[in-house]
Amino acid sequence: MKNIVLVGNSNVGKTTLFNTITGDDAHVGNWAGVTVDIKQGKTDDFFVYDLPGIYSLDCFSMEEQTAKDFLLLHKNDFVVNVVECKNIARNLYLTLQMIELGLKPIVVVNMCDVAEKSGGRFFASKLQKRLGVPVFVVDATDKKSCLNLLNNLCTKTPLPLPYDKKSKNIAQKRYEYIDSFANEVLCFEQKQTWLEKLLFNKWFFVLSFILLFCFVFWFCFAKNGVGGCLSALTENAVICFKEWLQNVTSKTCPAWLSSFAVDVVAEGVGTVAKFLPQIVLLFFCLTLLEDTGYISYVAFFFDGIMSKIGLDGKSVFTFLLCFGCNTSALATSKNLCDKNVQKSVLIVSPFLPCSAKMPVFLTILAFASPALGGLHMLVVLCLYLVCIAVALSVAKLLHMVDEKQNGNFVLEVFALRLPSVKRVGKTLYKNTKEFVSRLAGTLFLCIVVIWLLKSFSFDGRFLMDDIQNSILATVGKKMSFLLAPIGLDDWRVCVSLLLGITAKEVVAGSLVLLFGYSFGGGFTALQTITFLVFVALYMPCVSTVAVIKKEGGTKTALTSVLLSTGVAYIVCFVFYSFGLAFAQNVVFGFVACICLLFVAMSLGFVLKYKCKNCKGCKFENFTMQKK
Amino acid sequence: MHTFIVFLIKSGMFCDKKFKLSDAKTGFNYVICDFCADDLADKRLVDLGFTKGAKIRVVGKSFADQTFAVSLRNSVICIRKNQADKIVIKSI
Repeated sequence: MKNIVLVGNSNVGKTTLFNTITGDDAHVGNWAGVTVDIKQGKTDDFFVYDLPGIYSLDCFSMEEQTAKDFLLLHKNDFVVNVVECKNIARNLYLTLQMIELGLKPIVVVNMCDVAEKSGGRFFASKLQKRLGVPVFVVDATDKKSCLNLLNNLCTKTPLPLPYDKKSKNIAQKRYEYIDSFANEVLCFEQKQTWLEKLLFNKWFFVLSFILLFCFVFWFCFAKNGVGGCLSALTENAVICFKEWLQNVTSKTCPAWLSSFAVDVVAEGVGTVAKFLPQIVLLFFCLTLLEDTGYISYVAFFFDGIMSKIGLDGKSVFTFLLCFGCNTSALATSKNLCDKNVQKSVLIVSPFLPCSAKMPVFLTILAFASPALGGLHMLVVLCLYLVCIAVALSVAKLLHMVDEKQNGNFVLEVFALRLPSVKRVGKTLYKNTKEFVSRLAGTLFLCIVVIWLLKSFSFDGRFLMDDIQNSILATVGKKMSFLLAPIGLDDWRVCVSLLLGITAKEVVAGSLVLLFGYSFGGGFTALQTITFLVFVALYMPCVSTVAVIKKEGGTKTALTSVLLSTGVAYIVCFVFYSFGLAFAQNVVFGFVACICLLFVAMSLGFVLKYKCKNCKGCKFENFTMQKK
Repeated sequence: MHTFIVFLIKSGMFCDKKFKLSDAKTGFNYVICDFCADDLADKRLVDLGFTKGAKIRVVGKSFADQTFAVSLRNSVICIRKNQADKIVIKSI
């Protein structure tokens, strides 16, 4: 078996080629940095490695370091340099660097059809003559063309380069050399389409962004939207299934088995399963946006705002993905060049509401319908806004405390393309499968565990309708005093929050299991909303914490857990106390609000003044003196 | 006389003024005269093709002109204002 390694710039089609060769289904998108790890695949005769997209081998970012180490230290029989036809000048820069390092790259030119469609022409033989390395024209989506490449793989020693490798201005020299033959190799000039020109207009972009996200929200979550209708259908199916199950089991099985079947299988899993259509639709919308390349425009326009809070435009990708799933979104934080930005993103992202929190919001709201009337959509929208506001404020605070940003940002905006049904379908299937397997795995296990804890007492007796004496109630009652200041001193709330740490969906399932359908009766509107805010903000689920630890280290993970729980507690405490104040006397509430605003503003001023006008914190000065 | 002045303007004698990329207008073509790459992030820009003599065009600016999208060697690259300040260009 021989080794093939695929290397090249971002978004040139390395992963597409990898998928076609190996028959794998790795994630492909239309933006830079989709591949963050080295992927390994296999064909009959080769091991294939897919490196993350890089622009140079000068180790600017973490992926470049990974890629360079892999190229130099790993035994690679064939180094395949994937090159995008219309950007050939910039792509060949990396080729020259590889030749300088003594590697023997094989240049594979992809996406020639795109250039040819706009009237360009590419001459492979001329490039081969100039560099002395084999050049292949391949369509990465076409299996035949890729197999042809695999059958004809060979290495050749490249021609010597006409410039001095140790020259001071090496980058200039490389480009001068490329420019000397780029025009004869490729006759093509990129022209922007009318849509791209329009999207670069700020006001048109803002309009399109607002419309698009309102549409996505309506499409996935509104009651009369597609998502709402589908989930109503699933809900009915679940109710029918539950009734049928109860009828069947009550006649034939013992009491505990019947209770298990109805409580665990039907109510627990079914409640969350009915939100599945909405989540699938959300994934669908995100995949579509990603595939068209619209997301890089989002990054470009948001960079100005994000730079003010110490983040960069690229972090908007991660944030948008966080609305799907925090765990998978944070895995993409690796492609942020700046370590400090990455750390902030890791800490801030879990505040954003992931799709798993959606079922929880909807379950709690469905139960609280008498208290909240028909304001469900408004409450969900407000919750999303609160989460975003808290995330941005935390980012700003982190930026104020630690101003070590280098303030640089480089991003390539790729040409817009029509989404491909095949690509979108594949990604959608993969994401949904991941979500469902999590739902079926962790969630089912947790619901079984709660059922056991709730149905049995400490002495091992099966309790039919007497939850008060169960193991769960005993533990929850001991812990519930912690939630008293935010008005939620109910042991069942405490237990469901504890169980939510394993996966946020569990909060919904366990609430149904613990409360039955009596939730709304016991809680006021204020308490319900405080509970929702707490669920939205408190510590991320176990798998997210694991990813944060992997990407940012134990310290970042601990900070994230403590900070998010602390912030959730403080926000809820403030909200609940002010709500109570308003409920008693409106004037008193207003005065309290103004006081709070004043305190917040003075805190912000102190932080800003202290950090802008001193040359480092006292602690840092102290350590410097010590050195 | 009038024709002569028009000829001089068209030949580019008065257009040779150099200025920063951050002062460039959207939609016009320029050429890079000088780029002093002093830190690692600037070197990344050089790797991407921001070299002396490269043709460049500003295609978009984000809110408050904080980020610039420039078209260069058949691709569109976004950079921030502080980086655009370091790139010296002239019109063609």
